This record gives sequence, structure tokens and C-alpha cells, in this order.
Amino acid sequence: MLAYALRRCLGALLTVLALSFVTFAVFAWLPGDPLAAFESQRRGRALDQARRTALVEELGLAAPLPARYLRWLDNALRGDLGRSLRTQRQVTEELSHRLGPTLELSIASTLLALLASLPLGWWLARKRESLLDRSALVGLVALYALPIFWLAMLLQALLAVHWSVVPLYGRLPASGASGLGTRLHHLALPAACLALHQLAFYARFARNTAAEGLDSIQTLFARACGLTEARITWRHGILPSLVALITLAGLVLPSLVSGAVLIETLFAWPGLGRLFVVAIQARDYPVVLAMTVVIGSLTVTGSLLADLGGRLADPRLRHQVSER
Amino acid sequence: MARRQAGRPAFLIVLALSSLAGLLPATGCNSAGGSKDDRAGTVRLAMPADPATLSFSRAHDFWSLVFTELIGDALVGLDASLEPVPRIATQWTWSEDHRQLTFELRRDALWHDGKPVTSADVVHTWKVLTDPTHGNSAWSAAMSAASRVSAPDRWTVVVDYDEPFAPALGSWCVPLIPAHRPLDDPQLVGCGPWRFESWDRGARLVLEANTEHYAAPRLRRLVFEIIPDRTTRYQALKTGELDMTGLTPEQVRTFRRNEDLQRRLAITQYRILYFFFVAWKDDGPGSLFHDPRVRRAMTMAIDREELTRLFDDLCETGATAFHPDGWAFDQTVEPWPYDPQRARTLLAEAGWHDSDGDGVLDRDGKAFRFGLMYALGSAETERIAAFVQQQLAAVGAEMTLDANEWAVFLDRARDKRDYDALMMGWRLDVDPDVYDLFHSNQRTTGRANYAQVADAQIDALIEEGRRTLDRQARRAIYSRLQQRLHQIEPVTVLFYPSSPLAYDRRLEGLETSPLGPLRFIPGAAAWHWAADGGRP
Repeated sequence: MLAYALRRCLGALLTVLALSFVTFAVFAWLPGDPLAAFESQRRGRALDQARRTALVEELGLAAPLPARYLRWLDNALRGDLGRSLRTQRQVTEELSHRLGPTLELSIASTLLALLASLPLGWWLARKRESLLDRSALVGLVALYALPIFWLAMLLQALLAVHWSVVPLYGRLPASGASGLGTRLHHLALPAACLALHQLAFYARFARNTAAEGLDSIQTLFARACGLTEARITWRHGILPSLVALITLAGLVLPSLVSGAVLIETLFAWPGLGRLFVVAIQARDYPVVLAMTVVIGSLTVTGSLLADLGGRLADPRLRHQVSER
Repeated sequence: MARRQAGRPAFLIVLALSSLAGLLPATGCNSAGGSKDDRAGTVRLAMPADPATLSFSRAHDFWSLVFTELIGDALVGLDASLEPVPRIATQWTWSEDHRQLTFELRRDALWHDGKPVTSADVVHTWKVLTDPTHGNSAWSAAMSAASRVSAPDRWTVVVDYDEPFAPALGSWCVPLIPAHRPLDDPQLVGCGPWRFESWDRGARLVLEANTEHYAAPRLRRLVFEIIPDRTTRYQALKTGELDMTGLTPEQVRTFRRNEDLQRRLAITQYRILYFFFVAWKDDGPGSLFHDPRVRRAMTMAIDREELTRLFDDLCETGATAFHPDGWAFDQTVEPWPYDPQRARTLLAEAGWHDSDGDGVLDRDGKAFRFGLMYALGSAETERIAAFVQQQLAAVGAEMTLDANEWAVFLDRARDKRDYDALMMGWRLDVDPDVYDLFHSNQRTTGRANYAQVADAQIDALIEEGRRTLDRQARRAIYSRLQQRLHQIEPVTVLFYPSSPLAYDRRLEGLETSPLGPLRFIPGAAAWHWAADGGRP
């Protein structure tokens, strides 16, 4: 198990390195001018030669690609991700400023989604193959297929504009109030919109894994032994589906910081997702690179954790390893 | 070259209508949050993204310019009709040879930290902005036109130019940089009518009135909410969370159907300093668009009136690159009419006939085929391109659509001149000088003469216009220039867009200029809530 874990960690590290190099190279090889971040802001007016030279010097663009990458990597390992071309501020400062709002939104929506979807999924698993279960599954697929921005705009129009029960946009009001109640009030609608989307996914997941357990031969045996239905549901339905949830960590972890671009945009939420979009549009490659590496690292870490955690929690997976 | 170097070939992405509606013009608004007292005296506007910076020496994107102009102050301002008006300079005089400009400064202008604004600050501003090692500001190029800036005494500034340069005055709309503060000062000390209060990045930026200013605002506070989505901005206007916002053409339509909203909100429209055009590249005798008759035929084949109707009349046709609201505009120069029949005749005169009957014109065995290059970015651009394609097909010109990502577009358009014809938007300067677009010197790589115009008459008129300081004489020169441009038609002007702005009816003192509701004198300084109660 230890050797396996080490092997996986090494693989993860190499993946992140490769990812950062590819992103770096893609930006270097993109057609167009490397100083486009400055140019597009100048609405297409060419920089004069003196300024161009000064910028190339300042950004170290004259060196060959591998040298530039190594210097970036060296700095990055020491926590310096460079300066944003657009704003001239440190990339770490830009990212950390946006991290809080994004975590707030993503954690709230994931919690909401899990709290609502797991009981729903388990309940459907107990009613599996009934008319109720089938129609609920169709409903969940439909919910999952709904474009999230459409759903959000609809809820905005109803809840914020028509009934005025929640604020339309923003994380904090202009009045400067920042108490917990105010924050939750602003968080409610965007988090609910995101949660609705995730809910459809998690509920189906919980329902299917629990149903699988409840249909197994072990369940039949447990029932034959005279265990209570509640106990059977817990041991053969809920518990296995919770273990299976660990494997979803690989998906959940990066999504916590990648930010929900559409929701952040629609609700004017000052998160990382919007920063990413603005950076891409402005060709602000230090920011895009940093975001890509951070999200990439979290994806790799997430899948690593899911893998190792799954093995710790589920003896069957461990067994597969030792067989191999 | 006058003020606002920023605005060059515009960003097609923004194809005017929609984005202008939503993005460029500011929006304003009032809080749903705060207490009643807090809201009175506050106007809430919206903007789509954070400004890149608030640094006076680095501002180069639209919103950075807006804020540096509000927090800062300049020697010269522009009024709603873009005429220069005194600000920190109470008066200015040109020397007889028109190479020296002398400003007298007012004595009561103060920096936000209480220090007086003096001639040393003006010299400092010029030095910082012309130093190539210090980043780049949208004002740098305009500042470089002066060869020397000196301060004979505390209240006098003398600017020397190597040659007479009429657009020079506009460059002194540059927000001044305090000499006694560090560059990129985190305190953002300016000398303008608004002080920087706070900036929660991604959320909002707040300015408060500078009551010490010699022309202090009537409101207490301006709150700029950062709302990237147009629909959300419009909804926020409906809920009263914003007091003002730009609208898209579609939103204007729904607004006009909603009587409730119209009771509460008013709509105004202003033509922005921008136009959308097709440049026909003329590389010399061999090229497709070398013959002026062919270029004129292209213009006459495109129904530009119909195009404006596609955009709900939120734009207008035009004849040349001279803005209809500018003082140099000659209204006797009218756009070529839409006349496909006449277009065919012109093409025939130039030797183009459909000899093989395939529906496409040809000459000496070569078919009339070309690509129209443009930058991807908005559905509107695609719509316009398709419209032009269809219209030209009707006169036998086969045009292919050549869409490019912005950086590729810039590279091919400006640096390689790799296109037959090019469609884009262009942000005009406040000064009517069109040197960048049409002078033969600007055909080189990196410059903006996209049509590759090389016409001795045009060159001479442009140069003469730049040298002539007398307004009447200059207007006469530009009148001749417009006639000549119209005659040789190097570009087809598709339209001049307008930007609709909706605002709370109780807000008084709101005016607009081609630069929007904020970027002129008095701009937001004149806004105030109606006496009978201000905010709801």
C-alpha cells in the first residue's frame, strides 16, 4: 500500500509539471503578439518601439522558452507566480483575494447539494424501480440537463426581482453591512442555483450505489438472518454509497476553487471563475497559468486522495491491489 | 493624436451596439442595501469588470481611464460637445509661431492631501508619461508630441513643440500626477472632484465627493457596482439597486413595452466616438480595390440604412471617418446612396463583367473574389459580415468570411497586412485628426492605415489640418478632406453606433457626450437628486 501511494504521488507530481509546461508552451506558441495583453487594452494601437523593448526586457520575453519556463518554475516553487500583465499586481495577491468568495460559494453549494441529495437518493433506492423512483430519475436527469444559467436567471427574476426575497447580485451590500445574516442572505440564491445542478448528479449517484448494495446477495443473506430493514438499509445501502462518494472527491476538490464561471458572472460574485475569464480575454498569461496549475494540481490531488481514501475505506479495493 | 489615445481601432468584440449599450457607458444605480440617509446623495452605477489599475501613470483600459479622470484633474477639460474648457489652467495662449503653448494655472487647486497643484506637477506628469521604462499609459503617445515642458514659475507652464500641432491641446486633458507622492501611490492622491474611497475587487468601487474641489460635485458618493452580466444589470435597474445602466437594443425594446418602468426610468441615447467600417486594401495597380470606382461600387452595393434597421436604429450611417457630432463634420458630404444598379455600372466601367455567366464578375480571366477579414467576438459582427456578403453577392462580387481570433486578427491586420478587405470598429479621438487612419506614412507595419491609402491630396490636407490652429481655417481644411475621402472612398462607413442609457427620472443634471455620461465637464459633478426626496 505504501509503495503504491508513493508511486501515485510521484505520478501526480509529474502530471502537474507536465501540465504547467504544456500551458506555458501553449501561451508562448499562440499566434499573435506576446504583448497582446497590453495591445488589446490599447484597442489595437501598436506599442512604440522603446516601450516594446522595455516591456520585453521587463517580462524577460527575449530568453528561449525552456529558460523562461525554468525561471517561472523556480519562482513558482518559491511562491512567486509573477505579476499579472493586466493589473501589474502579484498573481498570488490576485488569486488570494478571490479565493475566499469562491470557497464560500462552492462549499455552501456542495454542502447544500449533499444534504439534500443523499437522503433523496437513499429514499429512492428503497423505492427502486417503483413508478415514483422512475419518474424522480427522469426529473433528476431533466434538472441536470437544464442549462444552469437559464435556471439561475429564472430564479433571479422570480425571487429577486418579482418577490424581492433575496438580493439580485453581489456578495455584500454597498451599505457596508457584513454580518453573518447579510452574508447568508446574499449567498442563498447563487449557492442554491449551483446546488440544484449538483443535486441532480449526487442524488442519482447515491440512489444507484445504494440500490446496487440493496440488490446484492449480502442483503438477501442479511434479510434471511432476520436483520431489521433499517439496519439492512444502513449497512448495505447507505454505507457503501458513502464510501463510493469518496471516489467523487477527485471531481469535487478542483471544482471548489475553479469557481462557477456562469453563476459568478450572473450574480456578480467576485470569485476566481470570473478572474479566470477576464484573464483569458486579456491574454494575461501569468494569471491563466497560475490558475491552470492550481486547478490542475487540485484535480490530481483530488483523484489521488479519492484513490487512496477509497482503498483505506473499502477493503475490496485493497485486495485488488495486493492481488496485482 | 489628441486626447484619449486609448481609443484606437476599436475592439470589434465590442461591436458597438450591444456592448456599448452594456459595457462602455457607465451605469449608475442606487442601493437596495443601505439606510435611507446613506442612499440620498449616492448614485449607483455599474461596470462590467474591474479597471485594470487606478494608477495615473499606467491607466490604459477604458475603466482605468474613467477613474483616473474622476479622481484626477487636468489642465484642460472637455465639455459635452467636446470643446476644450479651462480646468486647472485658467487660460492658455499659443505663441505666434504656434510652437509654444503657455498655460496659467489656478491657485486654488489642491491635491487630496491638501498640497497645492503647481506647475512642477505638470512637468512631473509629462516626464513620467514619456518615460518608456515606466510601463505604458494611454496618454503616453499624446504626451510625446511635446518636445519640452518647463515651469518658469509656480503657476505657469510652457510647452514646446517641434512644429505647430493643432491636436496638442487635447493631450492636456491628461490627469495630473502629483510630484510630491510616489508613483503608484497606494493612497491614490489626485486633485479631481472625486476622492477614492474603496475598491473591493470584483465587487464594487466607491468614490466620494471632494468637497474642497473648486468645482465640487453635488452628490456625496458614486458607487460603481461590478456586474459583468448585462441581464443582471438590467434587472438591478428594475429592482432599484442601480440608478443608471446602459441597455442593449433588445433591452430597449422590452423597456419601451413596460409602462411601469417608464414611469420610474428615462432613456437617453448618445452617439459614441466610434465607427464601424470596411477598409478596402489598395496595394497598388494590381490589387482588386485599386480603382476608386470599385470601392465606391462596394459602398453603393451595401444597403447601410437596412443595416441600421437590423440594429433597431441604434446606429446611423455616415459618409467618412469624421464623427457626426464633431465640430469638423461637414454635413454636405453625404453617404453614397444604396444603388446596386449604379454599383454594377461602376464595376463594368472598371472592366468587371460576368463573361462566363456564373454569377460572379470577372476581368481578364480573374474572378471578383475576396475575403473579408474580421475578428471573432460578437454575434453582431457575424451578422454584419453575413449581411455584407449577401449584398455584395447581388452585384456579382463573391466575398468569403475570414473570421479570426483577436490576437490573430491584430497580427494579420496590423503587422502583416494579410487581407483583401477588413471590417472593424475604430474608437475615434476627440480631435478630428485622421492621420493614423489615412496618412500614407501610416501604411507601415504596426500602423493603422488599413486601407493602405496613399493619396498626395489627402496627405497634404491631413498635414495642413494638424498645423492649423485657427478653428475656422481648420474646419475648411477638414471639409475638403471629407470631400476627397468621399470621392476616393478608401473605406466604407457601415455605421456610427449610439448607446442607450436608462436612468432614474429623479436624477437631475444628467447629460451625455460622445464620451458617455461621465467623461466630460461637468459630468457626474452636476448630478443631484430631485429636491422632493431624492431616493425612493
